[in-house]
Amino acid sequence: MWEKEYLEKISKAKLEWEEKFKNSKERDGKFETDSEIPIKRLYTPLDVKGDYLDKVNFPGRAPYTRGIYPTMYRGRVWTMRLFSGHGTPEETNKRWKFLYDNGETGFSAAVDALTFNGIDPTNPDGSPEVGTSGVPLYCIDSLFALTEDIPIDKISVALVVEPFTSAPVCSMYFNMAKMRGYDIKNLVGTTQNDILTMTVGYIPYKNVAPNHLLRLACDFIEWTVAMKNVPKWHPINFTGYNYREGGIDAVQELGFVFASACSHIDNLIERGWKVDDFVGRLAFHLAAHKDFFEEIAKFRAARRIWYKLMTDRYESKDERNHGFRFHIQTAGSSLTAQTPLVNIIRTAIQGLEATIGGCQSLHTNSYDEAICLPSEEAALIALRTQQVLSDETRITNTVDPLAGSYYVEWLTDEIEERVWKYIEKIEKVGNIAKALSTGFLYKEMRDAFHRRQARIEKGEEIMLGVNKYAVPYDEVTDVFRTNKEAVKIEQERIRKLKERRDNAKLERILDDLRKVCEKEENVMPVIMEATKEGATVGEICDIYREIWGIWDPPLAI
Amino acid sequence: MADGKIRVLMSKPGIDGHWRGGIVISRALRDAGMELIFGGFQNVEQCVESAIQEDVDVIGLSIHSGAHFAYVKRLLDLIEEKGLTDQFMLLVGGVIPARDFSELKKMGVANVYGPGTMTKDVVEFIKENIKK
Amino acid sequence: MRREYDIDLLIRKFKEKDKIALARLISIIENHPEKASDIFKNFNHIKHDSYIIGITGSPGVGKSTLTGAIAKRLLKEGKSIGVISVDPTSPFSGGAFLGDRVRMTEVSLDPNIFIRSLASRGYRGGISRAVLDITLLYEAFGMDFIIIETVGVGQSEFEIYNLAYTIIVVMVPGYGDAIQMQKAGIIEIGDIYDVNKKDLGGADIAAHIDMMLDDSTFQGGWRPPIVQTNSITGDGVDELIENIWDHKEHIELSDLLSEKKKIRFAYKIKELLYYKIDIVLESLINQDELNHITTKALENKFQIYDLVHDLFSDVKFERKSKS
Repeated sequence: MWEKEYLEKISKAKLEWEEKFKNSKERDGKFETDSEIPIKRLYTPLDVKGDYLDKVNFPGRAPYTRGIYPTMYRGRVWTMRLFSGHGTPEETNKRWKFLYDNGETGFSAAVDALTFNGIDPTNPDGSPEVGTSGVPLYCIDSLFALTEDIPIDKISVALVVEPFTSAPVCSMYFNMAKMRGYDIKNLVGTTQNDILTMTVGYIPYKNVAPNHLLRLACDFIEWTVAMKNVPKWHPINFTGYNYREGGIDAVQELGFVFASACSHIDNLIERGWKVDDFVGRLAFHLAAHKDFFEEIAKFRAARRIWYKLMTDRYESKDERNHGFRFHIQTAGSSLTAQTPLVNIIRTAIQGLEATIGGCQSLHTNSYDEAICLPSEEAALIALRTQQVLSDETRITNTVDPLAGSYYVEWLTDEIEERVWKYIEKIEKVGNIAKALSTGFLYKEMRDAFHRRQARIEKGEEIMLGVNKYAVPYDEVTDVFRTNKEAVKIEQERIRKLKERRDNAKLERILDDLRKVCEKEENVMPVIMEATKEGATVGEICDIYREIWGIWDPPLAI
Repeated sequence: MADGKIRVLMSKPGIDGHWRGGIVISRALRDAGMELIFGGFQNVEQCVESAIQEDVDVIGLSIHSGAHFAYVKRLLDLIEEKGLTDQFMLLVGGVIPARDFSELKKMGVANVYGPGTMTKDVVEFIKENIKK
Repeated sequence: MRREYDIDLLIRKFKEKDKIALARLISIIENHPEKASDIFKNFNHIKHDSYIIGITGSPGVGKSTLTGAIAKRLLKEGKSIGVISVDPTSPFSGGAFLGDRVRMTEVSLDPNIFIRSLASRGYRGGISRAVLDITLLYEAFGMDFIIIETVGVGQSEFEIYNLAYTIIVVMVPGYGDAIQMQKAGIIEIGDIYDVNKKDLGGADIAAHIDMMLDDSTFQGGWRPPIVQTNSITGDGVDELIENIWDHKEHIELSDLLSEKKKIRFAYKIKELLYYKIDIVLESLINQDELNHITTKALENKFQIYDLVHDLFSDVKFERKSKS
């Protein structure tokens, strides 16, 4: 970015400087990023390669390194969206309204393990977990209760369900919106619909094989966006966050999401769609982790990689489709159950990374999340943390303030280069379904688990309160307990629904679903019908299991 | 002939799929010379039947769903029903609030491991308390 | 917390079909082979034979899921089944990860099935000793079928094949797997070949095996059939079981079965003899002597044979008259 002569001058001066201070001692230990990229003592113009207009350019201009919109937060600050849900839909509705009244600008439904896995509360294997880790959304009535008195035409809602249950749960949401008189063509929101979350992010409980999950995810993208039934919806959110939490590094996180995104795009192209028919609504969900500069460089690199994928690989013509849109969650795995108040500081710093990095939407963790679901008090502090960033720090005054930092620009390049190599490594195994069924991604996760655990046990990665200044596991913090009656309430909700609905009619629709699954047609139209008639999430997922069989993931230790 | 090895069943009751803790501990126990039977998702009946057939010394439950009391109670009730009280060392790990530890121990859990557990502590505890 | 076992009590319970007793007797035999005769002498009156099926193939081909699927069908027909799943012991730590059971959760609560995971450990005489002993316990327990599942790597696991009457070799689509198994010599031992994960293809490898079989001669006129399955959906498992029945019938009618049983015990008897000789040898030659010749060998490696010969020269086995 500089004239050759000027760089030579700097180079010479740098040599002199090194010579003069060659006896200056540095601390013992490695200086490297969380992804184990070695870091030099100092970065200078010598480390910054390439042309500003090609590589960095202005916000809203290719390759979007500085941000996808020309004004960024001077136009509109990020959406403050707390991932939230517990007990019952009614209780979650109350929490949502509380957060909305306190300035939250988007909703995100954390569902319970049963909704996640397509299990009804009547199933004894899962019944103790009704509402314990999120909101139970088993039937259309739950969606009415969840959104009661909430202006869903004005505020976007993220439904955090994965391919196995995205069709039933989201169709319930769409049907509910229709019944409440909204045109779903104008509905805004997001479905996570991320195959990797339900395969390597968590172990799936009685789910189907990855090739079917990939198809279900693409059915949903196709029906909502490509077919324009819910054209403003984000039908998928490639959620690097969930696997990053397991211990993979920043480079792998981007490798996973991009390899996954490409498999989905390829699937839809095989179905006969053009990339510009749907790609503008694909979104991402990444982590803001512990390494401050590396994370910011990661967000910048991600925008550049996505732009190149869109133009070089997929030859997208519509430049509105080239921007990498992403939601951020601060790193839950960086939080400690020991002295949990320190988590507020960790989260604030990670929130700063996300916003300096130009995210579109942000979740900040509550300080008690290493122990339980967030209490109201802790959730409010998490929201206020974002508001401190947006309203008090003045970081929103300018766009991409770290551009031009020799270190950050160098690190952005370095990460980009490593991510391309990692994408290539995954794609050598095959598409994302193959990378799962062969066990490759499970081994990558497994290795990451052990690497991170070893680093913590050896003290190479410091967690205050755990392996440095260790204190006993905290007994003082109040533990938020979810509603013990939730299981009864939800079983009753289902019982009433089954009494009310036309079971014969529903049986016929479910039979149609069997045929659709066998013929591998898009499942959405028939599932829209089924949930409107009162089908539960478990009933629909049981048909998937019946037709496609239950898949055991190739776990590795 | 080598003497018996410590056999451990690692089980995930319920349907919550957080798997890192279970895997990390499984590897650590294997590396400490134990035979680790990976049960994966199991309801309590399947867990107890596995523990019986595999004749394990230790049952490890990995629970991240907040439903630890419910599953531990079901499991211990079933063990009692089968007349196997005190035949297995029961360990529980996961997202368990510290203030629940003493109650779980009172119920019959030998030890509880929350977030931030060092694997060597688990290995040591088992080796100290099961002499083979 | 160490449990004490009372063998007499366990035998009594075992005869009442108590699974806890079966499990504990397996542990005793596994850990203390010298107690095997104390246990087996209680079964002298039992004449029951189980039919033994061996399932082998590379890691990740879906053997355990397939075992579960076969077991499910057999259970439906009212048969009882004992499963032995063998996984390797880590030579470094001595520990093992036994991850087969997790694939059989669906059938694990059936009263007619018993599943035991076994680590190969560092057994003298190989893992097959423990496996054979467990098959004997299963037979005494009255199991109709025994399924032994192994990765089939290494000589000692290879010997497990001597214990089964019908051997199923499992592979997955893609030539790589077949070639690896061919190299390992495993591919020649199958009575039935199963191409699992047929949803990923399978015609290619089936043709490859077929070609290979064209070049083979067949024991007793049985040409091994090639079946394609999908153990996740259960697709093809019925056909696989049909083939097991056919093979069973074939070896029963052609008297190959009694031949196989003979091999099973001849093999075991030899193994037990070697085990005894080992113990005698150990009492005659001590570690210091072994260390000594190792040091010598370092000085002159070409002397190894002579050194061993010298050490052995004053060892004399004698057979006393039995009368």
